[in-house]
Amino acid sequence: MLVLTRKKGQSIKIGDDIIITIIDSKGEGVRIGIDAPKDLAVFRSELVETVKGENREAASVNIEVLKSFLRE
Amino acid sequence: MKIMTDFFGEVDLDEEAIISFENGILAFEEFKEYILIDLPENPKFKWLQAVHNKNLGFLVTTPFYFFPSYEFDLKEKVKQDLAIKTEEDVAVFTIVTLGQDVAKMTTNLLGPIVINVNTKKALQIVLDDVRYSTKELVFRVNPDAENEDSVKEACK
Repeated sequence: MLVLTRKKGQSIKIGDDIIITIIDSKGEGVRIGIDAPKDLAVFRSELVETVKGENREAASVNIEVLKSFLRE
Repeated sequence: MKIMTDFFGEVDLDEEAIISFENGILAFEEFKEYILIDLPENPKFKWLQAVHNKNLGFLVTTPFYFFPSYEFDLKEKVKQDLAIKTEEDVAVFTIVTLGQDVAKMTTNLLGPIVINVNTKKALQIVLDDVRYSTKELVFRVNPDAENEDSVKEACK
C-alpha cells in the first residue's frame, strides 16, 4: 500500500479525475473530501460488510415464522 | 425446468424468468441465478429464490410501498452493467429481515436490488446515504403496527 503524509487542505490525485482532499482532522476522525466522476461508486467500505451481515441474517429466516407470515 | 426449494417445495420455472446476478448477492456470491416467486397472499412482497440452492432465498419487498420517498441515483456503471436504457427497464426490491416478530420486520434500504426486467440482469448495490440503514422498520409509519390485524392488512 502506498502511504502518504498529508496536511489539512492538501490533496491527492488519483488518475485523471479523482481528487481526495483532507478537509479536517479531529482526534481519531479525519474528514475527507472526494471529487470523483458521478458514475463511480464511492462508499465507506465497512458498509459492504454491514450489507453482507444483513443478507446473512435475512437468509437465515426461521421457516415457521416465514410460513406464518405467508399464511396471513 | 423444475427446482426444489425449502419453502415452496418443487417449483416449475420458466427459464426465461431466471434473473442473473453477475456478482451474486453480497455474502452469497457463488449463487448467480434467482427467480422471483409471487406471494399471492402478500402482494407487496415476493420471494427471491436461488435456482441452485434450495435453502437460499430472500423475502423481498418493493420499498416504495412502505417508503414512498425512498430514492437513489443509479450510477452510470450500474446502468451499463445491467444494460438499462429507460426507467421502464428498472425494478427495485429490498431484502426483508423477518425476525421472530412480524410487526418488527425490517428491510435493507442501504443494499437495494436493482433488476433490469427486460434483460433479467440484476445487481445488489450498496448506497452510502445517511438517510437509510440496513434495518428500516417496514411498519414504522403505522402507529398500529403492534396490532396484528393491521400488520396483516398492511401486507396486502
